[in-house]
Amino acid sequence: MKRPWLIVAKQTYRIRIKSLSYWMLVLSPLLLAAFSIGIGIFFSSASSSQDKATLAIVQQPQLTQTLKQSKALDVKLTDVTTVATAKKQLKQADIDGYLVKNNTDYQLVTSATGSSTINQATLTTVLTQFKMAATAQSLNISADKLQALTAPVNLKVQQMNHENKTTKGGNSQANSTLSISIGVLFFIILLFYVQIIAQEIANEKSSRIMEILLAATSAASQFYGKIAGVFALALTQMLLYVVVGGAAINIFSDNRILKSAKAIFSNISWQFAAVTIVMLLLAIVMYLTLAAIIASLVNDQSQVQQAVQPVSYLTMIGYVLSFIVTSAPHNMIINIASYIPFISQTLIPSRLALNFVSYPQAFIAIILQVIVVILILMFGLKIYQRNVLEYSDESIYKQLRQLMHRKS
Amino acid sequence: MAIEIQHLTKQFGTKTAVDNLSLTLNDGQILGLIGQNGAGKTTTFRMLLDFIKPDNGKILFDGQSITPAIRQKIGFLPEERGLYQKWTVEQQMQYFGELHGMKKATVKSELKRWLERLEVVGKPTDKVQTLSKGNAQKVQLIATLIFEPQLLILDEPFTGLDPVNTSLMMREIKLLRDAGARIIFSAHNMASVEELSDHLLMLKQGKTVLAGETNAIRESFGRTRVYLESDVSDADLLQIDGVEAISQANLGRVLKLRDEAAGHAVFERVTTVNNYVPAFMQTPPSLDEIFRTEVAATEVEL
Repeated sequence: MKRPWLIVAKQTYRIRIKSLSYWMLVLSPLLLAAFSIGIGIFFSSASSSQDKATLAIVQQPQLTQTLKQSKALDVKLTDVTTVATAKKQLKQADIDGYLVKNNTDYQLVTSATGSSTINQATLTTVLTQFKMAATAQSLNISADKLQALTAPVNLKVQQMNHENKTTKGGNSQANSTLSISIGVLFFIILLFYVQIIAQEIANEKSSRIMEILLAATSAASQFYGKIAGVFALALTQMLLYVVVGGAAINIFSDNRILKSAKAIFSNISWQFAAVTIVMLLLAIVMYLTLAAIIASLVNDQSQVQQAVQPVSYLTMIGYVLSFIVTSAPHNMIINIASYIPFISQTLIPSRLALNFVSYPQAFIAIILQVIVVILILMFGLKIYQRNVLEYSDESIYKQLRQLMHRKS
Repeated sequence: MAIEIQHLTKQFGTKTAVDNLSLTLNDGQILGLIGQNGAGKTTTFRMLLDFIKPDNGKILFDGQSITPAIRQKIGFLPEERGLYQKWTVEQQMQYFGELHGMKKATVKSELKRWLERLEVVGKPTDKVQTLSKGNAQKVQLIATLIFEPQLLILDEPFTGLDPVNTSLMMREIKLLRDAGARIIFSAHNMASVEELSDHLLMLKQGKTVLAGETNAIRESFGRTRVYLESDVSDADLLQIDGVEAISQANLGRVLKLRDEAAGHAVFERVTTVNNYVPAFMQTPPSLDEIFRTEVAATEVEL
């Protein structure tokens, strides 16, 4: 005989995975990402295909040579002999601008209507170098000496983390990006699946299918099977994102956004990944169970949204706090909240990413999560069992209060 | 799978929903459960189905307590029907079938057979929400019966059914009984109880008022009713000693007698040489009458 909870889990998974609405919700963030990356690619390729700007240089053939050699300035260069010729060419739009030297100053004249631009900052740098070289020559300073004089100071930046290993400077930026994206992604996934499980249970209860199901199986099979099925759906979505994300990074390896994503992921240690994944999975189980309990108290579908609202608020706490982590990492409240199940799943990974907590502390948070998961699964079943066939007129929270009283 | 209910008691707070209920149901028997709303019918069903635990007493299926294997062989039709509106007919059957231990291929072929047998207008791939009410009821019946239950529990199975579906339901229940299944159903409509059930249980505020074979229960009230088709006038009939009341019924009249013996006097009065009597039938009171009498009896007590 097949295990009934497995049948329930499989059915929940099968029906949802085949539904269009599920895929719309799962794919919409991917489409959004693909869209924004696509736009980036479009604009970068569009601008690179454009003609280079043409800059005319008046009576300075030596400067023209230097500019051509340096290649720092991404423009086409031409020599003209007089300002008048340059002005004429500019009016006819043959050139996009001209550079003229007045005593020691340079003047750049560009067309107001031209579409191609000349990078002024780069031009200034190149001109400064040109002037420096010329001055050095007149002062009889060799090229080597000049380089020695102008070489910048080399400042190395290092950070020490809890493992006494140094990380490259600049990673904290990447890590905080990562910690915020963990919070956002987790928030979206939780809200989505809390809604799904609540709808599933409320639908079966309000349509009275529940009685038929319970006659064939048991409350425990229904309760645990439903949680397992929806959990598998959440897992599918996360795996899908990982696979698509990984593929995108490898296929479009030139894209700027994906490059920075790759840079972030390349800095993740396997311990960090393990802690994050374990905590997220445990939290999903916790939230699904909570939503299942609340849905078992609902009489009809229209009440579901309202009933699971407090669960959404709870997910939001972790979400909001994960933003504060970067600005106030050692705040007392955040410190305590990092150990509270239902919230810890976003706080510990973000603080771990920024090296504000160490792995032993993360393990304490995980153990606390495990304890809560076990307790909520056990007590949840009792509440579910008692209520899933009761159609009470009382409000859900009044019912919950009554349950508390009965238990004590 | 004989079902034995022994001294079953369930209390909700201070209210006793089911009070010391005992009964046995053997293979191929149909038990009709009657009683007013709140008599304890649903509570009894819920204990049978192991939704709630009794405070006292036990329920045995072939001598043992309920197990997952026994559960799989129980078919249940709740009073308020429900199907997954957005699933197709086949999806529901596959799910319910699998929960009851059926193989996928078996469900598929059985469903085809059932849809034809009950003349359901619709395909297995139709969503339930697109079916008419009558066809949805048939699908619900198939969902309850497709796995050939050994125990069938039906809570008000005839409520809300149209006449076609009512007779279909009756037919299927009888077929299942003939195959050896045990069936328990509750009903408000005494006609259906009279037609179907060979055993009867009447509950009143949790207490067992009547229990036993349907015919024996009826007989125990004595043959105090005479159905008569005759030309003799009401006034003449009422003059016979022991005739208490007369009411119209079908083509004739029903005479209510004080006792069985009065039937003889009526027979002699109507069967004179000049009178032809197409119908004379002395019977116990109908279940409907018994039900009303029993309900009234407590109301007097109260």
